[in-house]
Amino acid sequence: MGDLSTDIEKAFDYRGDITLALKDGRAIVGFMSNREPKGAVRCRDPFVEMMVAGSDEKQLFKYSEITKIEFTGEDTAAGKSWEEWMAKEEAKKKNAIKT
Amino acid sequence: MPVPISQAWTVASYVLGHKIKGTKRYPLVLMLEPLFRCNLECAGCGKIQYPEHILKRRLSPEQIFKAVDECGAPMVSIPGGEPLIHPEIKEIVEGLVERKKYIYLCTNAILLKRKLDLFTPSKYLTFSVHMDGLKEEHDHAVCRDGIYDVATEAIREAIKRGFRVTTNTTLFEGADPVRVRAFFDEMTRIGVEGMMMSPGYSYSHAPDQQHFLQRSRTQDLFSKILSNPKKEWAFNQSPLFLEFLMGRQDYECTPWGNPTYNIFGWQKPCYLLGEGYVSSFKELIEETEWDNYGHRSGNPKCANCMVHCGYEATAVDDTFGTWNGFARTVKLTLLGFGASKPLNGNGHANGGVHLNGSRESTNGHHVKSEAPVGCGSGCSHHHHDEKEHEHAGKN
Repeated sequence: MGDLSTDIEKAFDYRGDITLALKDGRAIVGFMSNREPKGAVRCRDPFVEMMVAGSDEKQLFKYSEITKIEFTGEDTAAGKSWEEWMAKEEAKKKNAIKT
Repeated sequence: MPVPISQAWTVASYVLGHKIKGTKRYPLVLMLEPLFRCNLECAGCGKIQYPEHILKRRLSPEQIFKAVDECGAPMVSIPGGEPLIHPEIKEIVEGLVERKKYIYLCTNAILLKRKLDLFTPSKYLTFSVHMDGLKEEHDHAVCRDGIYDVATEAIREAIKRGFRVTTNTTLFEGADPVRVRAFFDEMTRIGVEGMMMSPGYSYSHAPDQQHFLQRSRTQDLFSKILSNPKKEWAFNQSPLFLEFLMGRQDYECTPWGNPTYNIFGWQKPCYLLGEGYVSSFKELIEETEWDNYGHRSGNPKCANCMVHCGYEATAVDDTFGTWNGFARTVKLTLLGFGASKPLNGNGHANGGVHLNGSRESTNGHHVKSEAPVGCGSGCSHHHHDEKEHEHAGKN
């Protein structure tokens, strides 16, 4: 469960869709909007919340139901940090000076 | 007067009511994010990077009203995303006005002129326009040429039609105090009701921290900008918060002062750190481990943060929680920032007595709660949240 917990934390921080493989054989594709490692009022066991395309409702899955997590969607934040943007701006300026 | 007297009175009586009741933690400004989609993609914005099916989602007016009613804050800030994209923004604003909430609708103003007809001028409605400086700085910050001109034209039109308009500005490392002052002059000339500003969020583990202001540099920058303010400048913010930015006042964060609600739920613990979500405001207040956050908590994510959503609420609590805070607020309002003194080394410009009679400490720990009379409720589209920083680390 240690590795799964780590993967869940990474999935929660990921800005793209992921795929949850469940013990019952289902594969759930969506955005992990939340995870609660200690459980909460609405579910006492540790759980994750998924927002699945085409469904308005958040779907809740217990950690114990999950066998594997894959990062299957594009990371929408990739390459969009301030640092990268500034680097691109600098490169543009340098090119402009050269030409 | 940077805010209408009725708004100041509403906030004052609300805060005092909680003081009298002894409420430990109460909200002042609800940060309502009805959607994440935006028509700009500003450099470093951490609020809009989501898969398409998430960007398509919106809070319904019913969800919003339920959250607003549960929260009870007298002010509602509507950042996003770009709220004017929301197809039901008219109904949302009308519902909030009906509830007598002071609304700060945060917008980049690209759609403002076109959508003004949807709204009716009201003391409850303020358009808080995202402006990160003069033309050169603003267009650079929003990564699109011409937006400054579009925004200023929309501001002029909104003012002409009788709407309340403020600006909100985020300042980063490298900001030029002289240019910022010139920007204040220009916004004052245009006729905005007030201006709001905040440093960008800084997280010490972030690889791009060189662009975010560390505490001492924040204080230095804001001192240069505000030490000799012009009389005609009006700020829609607590003067004590501005003093805090200048390093003349030490405060602790009150993250519950500006709770955030969006399509994921109530965000723990604050507008900037999305560490999880709960389904009710009650859960947020009761189940968040608040001691883990704030400048003095030792949490590295909070170490350099001086952002308004954490600290302006504290300043307002100081104003209405201590006689001294109230007196300083009045003095600064009447005489300006030149009237204040640097810190005495204990973290406070001077000591004070709580309105309940108890002596306040001089280390700032007494300060508990919420946001601003002049409310820096305006969002900044440049708040990098925690996820953004972690992504920045990967990329």
